[in-house]
Amino acid sequence: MARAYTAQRRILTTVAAWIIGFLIFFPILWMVLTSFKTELEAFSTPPKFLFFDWTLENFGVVQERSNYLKFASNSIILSLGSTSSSRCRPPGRWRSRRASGPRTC
Amino acid sequence: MATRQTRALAKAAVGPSVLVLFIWMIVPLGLTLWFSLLNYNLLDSSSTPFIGFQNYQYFLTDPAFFSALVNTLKLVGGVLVITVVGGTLLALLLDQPIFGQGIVRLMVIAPFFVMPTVSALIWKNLLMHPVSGLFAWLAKLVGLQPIDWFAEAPLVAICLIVAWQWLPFATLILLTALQSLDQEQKEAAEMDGTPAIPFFFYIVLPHIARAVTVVILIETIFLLNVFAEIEVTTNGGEATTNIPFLVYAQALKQFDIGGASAGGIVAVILANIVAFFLVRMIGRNLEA
Repeated sequence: MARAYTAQRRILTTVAAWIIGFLIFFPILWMVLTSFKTELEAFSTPPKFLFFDWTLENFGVVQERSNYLKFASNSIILSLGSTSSSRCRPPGRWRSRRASGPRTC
Repeated sequence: MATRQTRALAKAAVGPSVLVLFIWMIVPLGLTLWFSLLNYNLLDSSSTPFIGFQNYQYFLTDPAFFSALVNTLKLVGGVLVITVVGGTLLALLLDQPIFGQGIVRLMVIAPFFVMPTVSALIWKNLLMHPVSGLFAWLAKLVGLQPIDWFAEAPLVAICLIVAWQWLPFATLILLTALQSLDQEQKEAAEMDGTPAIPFFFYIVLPHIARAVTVVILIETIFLLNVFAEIEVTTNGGEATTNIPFLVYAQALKQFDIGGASAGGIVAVILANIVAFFLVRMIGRNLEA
């Protein structure tokens, strides 16, 4: 970067970008936090942000109730399978000599 | 230089894959067309008499069809406006030199990797819930009446959720377009003392116009098919049913395969009309 920016401008844009980025990311963060709460705390008002009893209970419950790992592996097989089958090229010397991208499979 | 032989060879080499793709496309389309002409109901599938265009007649004269069409257009239009305008602003911001650029970009892109069902659940139960949601808490904090999003403004709520999911896509494409803007051009404008707003409209916007076109085209394709968000949050209803949801309801709630197929064909035709106008209006950018 050849151009110089004043420190003040850089700090201002940094603050703005971090606030907006955090707001956009917040629903995901909130989901992660809620996954460590008990059922009661998840719906408490006022909401608790960090100071609650962290628990791993929900992760066990979700696996017990619905065989979560099986469904997760279904998703992974689907996405990997469709991606790899659409990225495959036929074997042999048919590739164009000009194709300079990295081989993907 | 292509000789006649090499051209014939190229055709022969490409032929098989074109054929496979063609079959891949034409078999489902042909079956849908065929089913749309039958009186085919899953509750009584022993006889499927041929009834011509009656399915189309029922589907098109159903009052639900018109409201679904309006909902689809509102959803697509609303999300496009939010994501393109928001994405441009966000891309301009992220293009500035800032501390922790990588982390901020990661946070902005993150919603794109969340499954539609999951993000609909987060927004419905954790954020927009009228009693225990975070928005309700914030509203009460400043002394306002909490909004019951899915009862009072269900389509707006779904628009917001879908826009949240697609904002990263628009931002990412527009950011890469911004980064390819020539540094020297920027410097020249700066030396001439161009103010920020004319600089944006006369230099930046023409430069990223093609990327905006790409964003609009790709998003339109996907936004015409929004389904999971509606199923999870409101489960249909007159205010939020769009055309894909109407087709789904026809097939799997009323078990009317014939009617659903007719709806599917109508949806394909409508999508083509939209695509036609879109390409006429903004596709010129892509040819240059």
